[in-house]
Amino acid sequence: MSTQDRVRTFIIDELRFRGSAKDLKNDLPLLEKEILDSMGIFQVVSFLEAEYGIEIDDEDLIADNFGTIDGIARLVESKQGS
Amino acid sequence: MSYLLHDLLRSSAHTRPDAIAVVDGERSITYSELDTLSNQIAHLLHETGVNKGDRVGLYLRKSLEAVAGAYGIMKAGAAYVPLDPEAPVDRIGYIISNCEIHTLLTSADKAGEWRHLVETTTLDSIVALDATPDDSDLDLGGAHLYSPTDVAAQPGSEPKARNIDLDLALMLYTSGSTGNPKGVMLSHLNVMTFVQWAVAEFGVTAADRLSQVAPLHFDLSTFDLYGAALSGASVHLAPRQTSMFPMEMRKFIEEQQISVMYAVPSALSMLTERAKLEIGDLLGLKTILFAGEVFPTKYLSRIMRLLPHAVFANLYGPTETNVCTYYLVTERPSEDAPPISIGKAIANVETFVVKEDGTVAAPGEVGELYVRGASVMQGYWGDPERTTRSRIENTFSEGLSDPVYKTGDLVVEEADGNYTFLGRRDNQIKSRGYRIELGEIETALYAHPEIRECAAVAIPDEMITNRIKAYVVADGGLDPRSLTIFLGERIPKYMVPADFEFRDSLPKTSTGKIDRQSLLDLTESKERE
Repeated sequence: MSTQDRVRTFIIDELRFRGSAKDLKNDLPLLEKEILDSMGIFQVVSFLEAEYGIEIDDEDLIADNFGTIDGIARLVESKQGS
Repeated sequence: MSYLLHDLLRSSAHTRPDAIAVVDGERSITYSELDTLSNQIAHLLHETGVNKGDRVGLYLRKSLEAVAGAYGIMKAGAAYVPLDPEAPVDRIGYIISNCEIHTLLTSADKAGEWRHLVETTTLDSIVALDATPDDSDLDLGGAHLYSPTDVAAQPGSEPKARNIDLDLALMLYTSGSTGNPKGVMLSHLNVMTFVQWAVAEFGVTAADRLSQVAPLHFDLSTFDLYGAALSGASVHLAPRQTSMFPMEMRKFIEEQQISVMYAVPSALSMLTERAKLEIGDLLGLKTILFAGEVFPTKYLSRIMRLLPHAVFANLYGPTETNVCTYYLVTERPSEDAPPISIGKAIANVETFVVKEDGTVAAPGEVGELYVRGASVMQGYWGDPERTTRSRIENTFSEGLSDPVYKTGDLVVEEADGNYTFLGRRDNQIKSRGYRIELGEIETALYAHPEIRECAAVAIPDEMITNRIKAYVVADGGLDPRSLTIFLGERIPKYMVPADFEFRDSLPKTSTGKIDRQSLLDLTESKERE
């Protein structure tokens, strides 16, 4: 499963996204659409850290990294590469 | 002397016409422009049929338009009702009908909800302040739609409306224990009492730059907006992402050169812990005010160490009295010190403590904090019974006939005259600065056909004050996901429990009521595992 799909599944199952998987597109603006809020972001961070064995620093917690599923996947890749 | 909130704007527009009044990201508006725009909105409101004393909804995200809308509504002689743009639409609809709103100031991104609101509420006019919706064939079920062009076509002259300081300026809906939010009626005088005191006490001047962090439906916003207008300073609207990302909050404070900030402690705790602050950062930030919940001493101590140049003050008071006491934190507490005091009464407000037996408590005795004076609300909208329960006759001070507000907060007056907050008398809790009645969550849960019994409990949390957990006894196979979605349509997200536990039954007291204490004990012992 791609990083995007794993994040999508997490948002649907754990953050209880209302729609279906096909509504939750990779470029859907998660913050503007109020799919992620402050608590949701910390849940996503814990999930990414556990799932991928990466460490997300405080300075990574910015809107650019959590604005879309693609953004989150890019963050994971950059952390895995480092 | 200005005694109406919108007179503050008029006055600054006269003395500092070209000074920046509001900054919203890349956009800004001067005092003169804001004065003219809000006059135009007021004229349009009169055209839609708004009269003195009416309520007008303000349903849009924080923006230049939202601020102009609030002023425009007051200039039309009406009271503004800020509606949480993130709340479920049916809760918005409840508030609209509850206080009989006929005209809504809103934004084009809410267009999808307009028809439903028109069909289910008292609404008959909609004013889109920011843009005309793309869909020109929008069917609004007979309601009239006004666009920014209609606002711009209005004269910029001062509208004709006469008000006094006891007239309503705004209504803030807070969580209600019986399942529906209740409207706290605030007059111009109520808000002005707090704003004038705060501007004088903290020496806010035209050179300051105030942040606007809290949502508009939160009473903290009145300081930001009207404190800026009173002093001729600029107010800077914090983008939504600042509430989610501490680094974005830091960037906002730095880029906008904020000098005065008023926020809930959980926002400041996040800034302290996760924004990479070091001693010497944010030197421009000289006044930090906080309210809404207890500031964990650990984080207060840390932020005071990081920002040693700033003045810190704890402001206390329920929405019904706005701020009524305050405590200037002159010495940095140690990290393990008990919570800081809520201090003493502000100007034009009197406070005292009443014991269980109805007599006034002496220093050192525990009782409920009562408040009288110019900041006490006018009552709850359409609910005289609830109003008389908490806004009672003054039988404590001889010769004074004005009402006294019972806060429901237990306090003790210390030897130095400052109050220490001890807790609540009821099931009201705070979470991330939001005031929540557990009963409102339970009512929303009981609306589910398969739920037989439920109880919402608050679990203390270091960062956000409380987390909410719900115990549920249900007939069918319910799961947390479907319940979260169900609740999300009825109550705001911050009220939806983070955890659900499904049980065959709930513990009961000898009188057959749900035993909240034993549920709390159960929760606590589980948390320790």
